[in-house]
Amino acid sequence: MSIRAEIGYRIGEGRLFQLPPLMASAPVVRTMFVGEAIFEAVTPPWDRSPDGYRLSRLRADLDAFTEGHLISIAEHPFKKPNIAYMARTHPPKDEVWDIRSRDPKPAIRVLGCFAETDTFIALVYDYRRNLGGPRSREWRNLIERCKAEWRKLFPSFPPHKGEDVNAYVSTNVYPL
Amino acid sequence: MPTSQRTSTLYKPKGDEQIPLGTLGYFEARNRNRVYDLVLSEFLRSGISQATLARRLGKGTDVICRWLGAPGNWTLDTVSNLLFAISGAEPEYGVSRPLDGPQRNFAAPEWLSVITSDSNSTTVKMDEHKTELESL
Repeated sequence: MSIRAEIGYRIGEGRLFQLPPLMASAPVVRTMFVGEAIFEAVTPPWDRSPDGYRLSRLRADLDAFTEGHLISIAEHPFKKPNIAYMARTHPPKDEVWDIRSRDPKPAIRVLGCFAETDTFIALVYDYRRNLGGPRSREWRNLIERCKAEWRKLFPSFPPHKGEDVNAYVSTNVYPL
Repeated sequence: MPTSQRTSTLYKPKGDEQIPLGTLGYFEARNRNRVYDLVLSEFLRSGISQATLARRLGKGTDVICRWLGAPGNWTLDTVSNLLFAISGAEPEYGVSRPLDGPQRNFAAPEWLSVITSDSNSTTVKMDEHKTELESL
């Protein structure tokens, strides 16, 4: 069985959701699947509250990935310029990546793994203010939660691993 | 089998009805991302460094680093200054009405459609088998 088949089964079970761009006319250039918590958070209608407003903006940031916008990716977990849209988390061997929704404050971090090139599985998220410094326990816990979610969904498949940034995102990508 | 269980609730403004805050937020962020994409693409295409851009604009590299880091505090003037300083460029303007546009043909990758349809047919076969067993 392939990881594609596993993804299909997880969708059938209601444990994974495809997240195409919210705009029905927008193209789907890359593919993103999300866990239930993220799906609930970024799918309208949103509350008429600061949280709801922030999550609507997070959705636009996630749609930038699926619509194929230029995205910058930092491979080094601790030496990343602030322009990075996506960054690898520490340790790199875990293959956990972080989408950085920085604007507006409070910033949000969405963690997940690639299933294959141009296919990202986003599994957990949290507000950046809850995560402390890059080597904090809170960060580590979020990464571990992401890995645990991955193992629950895909026990037979490790996350996709590539030689360089283009092995993760094939086009319109800027390696940092 | 559905690949997205809830559908978009984005809809065009109607009459005097107040637009949901989330809809405005989505379009605000979308606009910022598109402008950011435009400026960053131009910056990357130019091959100049952040230091050069800072010197051209008479700013510190910390300011340029912050500007290129996120479009959070950008004004129309920031966009104009950045584009011109990068390559002598200026933005082009136009409007589109994306909610009026035709729906995309493919929301899911082809492989997913195949897998989910196979999965559905497997479910149907299982149901048929169950019915056969029950009738025995």
